[in-house]
Amino acid sequence: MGKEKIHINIVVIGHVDSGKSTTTGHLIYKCGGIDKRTIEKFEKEAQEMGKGSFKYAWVLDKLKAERERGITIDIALWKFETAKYYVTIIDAPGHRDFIKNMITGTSQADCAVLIVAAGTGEFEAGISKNGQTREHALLAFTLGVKQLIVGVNKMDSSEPPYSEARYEEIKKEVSSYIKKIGYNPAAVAFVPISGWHGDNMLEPSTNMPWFKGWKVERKEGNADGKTLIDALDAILPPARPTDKALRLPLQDVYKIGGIGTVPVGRVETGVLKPGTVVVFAPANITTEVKSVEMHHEALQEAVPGDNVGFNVKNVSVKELRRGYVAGDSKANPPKGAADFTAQVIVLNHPGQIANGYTPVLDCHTAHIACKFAEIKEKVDRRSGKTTEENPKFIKSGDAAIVNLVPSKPLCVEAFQEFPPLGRFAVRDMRQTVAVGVIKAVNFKDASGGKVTKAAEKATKGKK
Amino acid sequence: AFGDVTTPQGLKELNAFLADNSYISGYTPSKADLSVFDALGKAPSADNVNVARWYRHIASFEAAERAAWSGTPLPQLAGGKPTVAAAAKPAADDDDDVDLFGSDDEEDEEAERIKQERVAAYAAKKSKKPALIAKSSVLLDVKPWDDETDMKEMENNVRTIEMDGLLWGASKLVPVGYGINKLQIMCVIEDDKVSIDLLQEKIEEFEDFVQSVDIAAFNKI
Repeated sequence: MGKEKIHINIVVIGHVDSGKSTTTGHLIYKCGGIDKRTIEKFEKEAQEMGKGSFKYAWVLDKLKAERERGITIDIALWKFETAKYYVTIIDAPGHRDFIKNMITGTSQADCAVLIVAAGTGEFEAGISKNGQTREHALLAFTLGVKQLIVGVNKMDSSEPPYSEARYEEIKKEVSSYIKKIGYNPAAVAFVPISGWHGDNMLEPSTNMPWFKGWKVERKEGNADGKTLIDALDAILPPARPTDKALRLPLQDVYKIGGIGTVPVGRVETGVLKPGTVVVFAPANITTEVKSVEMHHEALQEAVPGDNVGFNVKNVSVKELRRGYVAGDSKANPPKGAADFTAQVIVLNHPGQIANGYTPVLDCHTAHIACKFAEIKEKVDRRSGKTTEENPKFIKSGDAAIVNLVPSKPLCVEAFQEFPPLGRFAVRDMRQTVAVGVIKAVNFKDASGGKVTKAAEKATKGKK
Repeated sequence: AFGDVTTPQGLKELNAFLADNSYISGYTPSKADLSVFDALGKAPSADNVNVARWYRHIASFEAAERAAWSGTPLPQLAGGKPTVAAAAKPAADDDDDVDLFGSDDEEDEEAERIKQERVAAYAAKKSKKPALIAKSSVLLDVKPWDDETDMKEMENNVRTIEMDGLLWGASKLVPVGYGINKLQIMCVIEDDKVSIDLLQEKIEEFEDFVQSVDIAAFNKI
């Protein structure tokens, strides 16, 4: 056992016909994401059916069929290993509700992998203007996924096969396309691959001798390599935000006989330890953490990414609820927001949005109606430049700076400081009609909240 | 007859018109449909049922199919850019209004033409293949109220939910802490049929058992 590998999350985006699922499947298959016995079973079947030469396709088909039946939980979470990382990979579905999940979901991606198909017409159809690929790529960028890899897939089916000219043509097109979204093409690895045949996936392909490898330039250090897996290994690891102030949005609050009140949530930033005097915003309740548990085991320290329960004294379940945020009372504690300013991008609102519009916002675990109090300006999404002051209304495709006022107490943060608490989905008619990132928060004065005896004692004891 | 469909009045008139007509002109889709479609720019609100139905229908055609339609476009936008131009090369210019990613630079027409030809050829080739039904695999975390919630009964309740395009899969209990377990349950859904939001609401309706529902994983199949 060497040093434990770092865990990273990847989201794979691309048109349904780009072959992204095959590519994803290939990585998982070859990098230990599927248990050996399952693979052996399928490979044996392939032999018996005389499909030995299509072994790989056969196994992928079988796995897909198994996924369609939904009987194996382990394959719902796709994981594999590279030389450097443990990777959890999300194959982005076209489902409309996935967008909300990208925002409030459990795993923020560290890198997006865009797959485009090299086939004639296929590439052109895949990145057409009404395509979901653009929407996913734009959302990924807006939500802070700043690293991108592009796989130019199905190189075997270009005309002629493995055509350098076609690859260059696509690379040029995609570069201008992702530049418009906000990515810097020079920092993006472009790899010509075949997810089906395996070209340049794990090993350099002999079918594309013209490909001298990919290169990226970035201020954290340049990188180069030949294959897609090399490109994954060149991803910059996420900075673990342990040095930031504690933020833990509550998912649930339990009442446990003999123990008391147990809030549960994921540590987004900072560290939670037994003995920490926490404050719950926006209710401003202060108390001491008695113990912390994860998977029924006591923890001395919970770090970002840990989904934990913790026991608090002198606070009843009725005083806490989902959407509240726990923080350290002594280190930049969370507070309720009086109002906040956000950049909002309207995705598919059927009408116009004007001042006074009050939809429900989903931000971390909170679900609270907020009023578009003032649409301050329309902005150019890429440059951030103002294109119109005080617009009467905004509609699908627009980006705007908006001042929002929550209808009930709510705890949010600026995206810059605490990304998971600073991005939200705007929901209306069960649709994500807009997404937003918070630029600034006007906090309420934290006064008049409850301070439990346990908290007082703990605070005194440390003086 | 109907007026400018970008106005509420025009939209109402269009709705009345489409109550008796399948298409804007004649009995087959034509450039006239396309011009009105482009002028609308987005699906109408649900109360204009006839327009909504027609809009969905027109939206279901691929760019290449639309390009093959004949007929004369109907001028729609008063004061806007002429809709005729939009109808002439529909896929290239399908309404700037809802285009999140519009390009600033005018594309080279020759390059655009080549692109359209390639898309059309590909669409024709693809149309011979059976269309795949898009599905997702979703792993849900269903959380109880306390350590005394009957998890078996909770699961039984969850599994009684039936929706067109929804298939329940495997499940297991996952320890959270302090003796509490959550129910982790898989389902396979057809993307166009099942709203995850609605499904979560339905599960949360078993309020004697369920405190909240979160999505643990959401993947394309």
